[in-house]
Amino acid sequence: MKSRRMLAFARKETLEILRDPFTLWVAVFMPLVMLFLFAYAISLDVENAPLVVVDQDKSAASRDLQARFLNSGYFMLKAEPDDERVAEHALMQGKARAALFIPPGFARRLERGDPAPVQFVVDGTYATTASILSAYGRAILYAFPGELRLPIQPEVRVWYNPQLRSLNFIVPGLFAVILMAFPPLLTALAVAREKELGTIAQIYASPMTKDEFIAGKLLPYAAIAFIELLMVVGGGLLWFSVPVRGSLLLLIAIGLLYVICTVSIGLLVSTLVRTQLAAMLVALILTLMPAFLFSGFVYPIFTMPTAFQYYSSAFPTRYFLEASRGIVLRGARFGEVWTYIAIIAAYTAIVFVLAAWRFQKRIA
Amino acid sequence: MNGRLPGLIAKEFVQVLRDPVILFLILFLYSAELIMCTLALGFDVQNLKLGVVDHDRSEASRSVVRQLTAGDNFVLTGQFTDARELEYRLQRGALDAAVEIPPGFARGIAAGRRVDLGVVVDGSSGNVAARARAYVIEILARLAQERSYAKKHAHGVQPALRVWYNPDLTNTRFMALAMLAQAGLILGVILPAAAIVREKQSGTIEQLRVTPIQAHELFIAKITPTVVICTGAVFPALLVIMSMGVPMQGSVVTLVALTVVFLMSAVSIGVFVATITNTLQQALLVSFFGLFPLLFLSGTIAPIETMPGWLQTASLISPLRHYLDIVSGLFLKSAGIRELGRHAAALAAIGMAMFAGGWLLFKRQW
Repeated sequence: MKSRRMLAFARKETLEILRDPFTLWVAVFMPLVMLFLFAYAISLDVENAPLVVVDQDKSAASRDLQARFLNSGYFMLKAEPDDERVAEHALMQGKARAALFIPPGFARRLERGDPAPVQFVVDGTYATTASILSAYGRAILYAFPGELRLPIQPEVRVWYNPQLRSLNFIVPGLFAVILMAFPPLLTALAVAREKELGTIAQIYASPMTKDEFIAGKLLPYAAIAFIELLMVVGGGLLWFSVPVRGSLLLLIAIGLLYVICTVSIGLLVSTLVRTQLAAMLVALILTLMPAFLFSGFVYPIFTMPTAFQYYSSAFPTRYFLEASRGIVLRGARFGEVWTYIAIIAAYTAIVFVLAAWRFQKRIA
Repeated sequence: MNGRLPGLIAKEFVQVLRDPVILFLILFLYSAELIMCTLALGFDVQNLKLGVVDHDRSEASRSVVRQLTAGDNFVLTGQFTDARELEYRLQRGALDAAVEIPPGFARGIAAGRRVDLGVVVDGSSGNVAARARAYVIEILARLAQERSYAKKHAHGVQPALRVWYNPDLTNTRFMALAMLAQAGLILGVILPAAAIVREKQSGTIEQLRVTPIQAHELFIAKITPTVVICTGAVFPALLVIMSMGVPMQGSVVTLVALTVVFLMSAVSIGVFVATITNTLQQALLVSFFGLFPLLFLSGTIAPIETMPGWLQTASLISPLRHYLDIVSGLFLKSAGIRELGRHAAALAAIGMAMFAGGWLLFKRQW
């Protein structure tokens, strides 16, 4: 590999990117837009779930029970119809996520010491929030009508994220997802475009070698990806005021390695396909979907069947995500994340070699 | 009109069907991706690793541990004698939650005093942490109720918990439907956008321009293959979904009809993208850019009601949101056209607005 020829090629690529202001604009701003959208849209906090209450008892006891649901912070009163069918309809339309039915005679039964039935219904469409809501709902019902503070008082502390604020683990996870979503796509499109337009024939005709071509393409796109990294990390941590326990420098250093890795994946994708449309769809299936769904970003990996746990370990997002969350939330140091660094580095090397091997200098 | 439009449509079909890679990818999104996500992501958070330090070593403290590990929620991973061991294991991720039972626990309960129980949850994966916290609170509340009422020989509230629409509380059904809807949107936007822009980029649009073909005829020809193929792809996906035990409670005819309405609104976005861009690269980047908000604001990824108000309003322009309500209504809640009518109307409105915008812009280029 001659570095002079490679650098000249990288310079030509850079000029080409700079002269396409549209793509450059998209490349720089899209990750930021994605960051804000993701961070605002994905909240796994379960609070103020809309609740409909059908209180057919209308006693002091039934009002007390209702108040305990609303004061818990997990539920918010959506409506208080007299008719059960209105409540059912609200659940059907998704306007309410839970319903509480208090039958007549509730207070009387409680006073006499008879079992007082109460029905609590949860919309199971979103299993994640539904199981949390049902657990809290049951806890409130079990405690009733005794003291609000139970005889056995659990003092729950949540480590690393005391307020269980979603943003604190969503944002460091997003770094991993966004940097896998965008740089590979941009890179894959760039090479596929040369193939589709036929300009690649000029490369074939030049004395440039395969690895010079791959490295020359990689450099400018990795530089863009690095700028994206800085913007996403800076914007994410500052705007959403996510506290960083560990070393920011370590995070950015691993991030640099990670973007080289993701850009290499983009190059590999572009060697597999001939058109830009195919490059985009393959990039979607090989980078974005696994990054988003199989990295542990939202869906915890340990709940997946074993085969899919292996599948998830075949993509680098999982490792960067672990490192990023470790550094930001737990204050992990180099000693605790070096295995992830090693895996990402090895992954990058393998992908680079594969891409250079797949890139054939001939007109197919 | 005789034969011109059918001929144009036939040409578009040939062009799509000639590319085996694209056909494979369409099939992949509708089947393999759907199966994978449903199988892998449908699981509830269970078997959380629980560590215990029991300083009391009494019958009462043991019954607390028994209660916590009785269901599927927690698995007892280790009993330790020192709280520092819990700390160390939590930090390494070997435990998800830990309980520390203080000395004098049993005596306190017997004396009717309130006793505090130390519970620590690993918050670095928030999804898991919220669940672990809710489970602990629920189990301890039940235990407290059992103990206090056993003493007083009285009964309290008898809660009957029902989970509607998804009684086993798995993500399977929801995931399958969400993936079906997502595949429709992604392909519906990208395929027509690419088909139209490709003509622009390679200059073949000049040839079309000198023919008597009208702008709207070109649109119709470009979107027909996508709508037909994606509607057809719903059927194998339907088989997959049903074989996974998701019951179909509504009618198939309603599903197909509303799917066509949904695809029309998706392709209208693709057409619009094609009119505002000139190269394939631009078109693909813009569709990618546009798809994200549409995917995110649809409820397929995170529930809409947990979003801030302005995003909830914005989510109304996402066709995917309406379609997701349609499919989950049809499959899970046995909703009919009466409940789904407003979603269908919204889809039609989105489609018409985008087509009108695209057509006006394109007329100037034609």
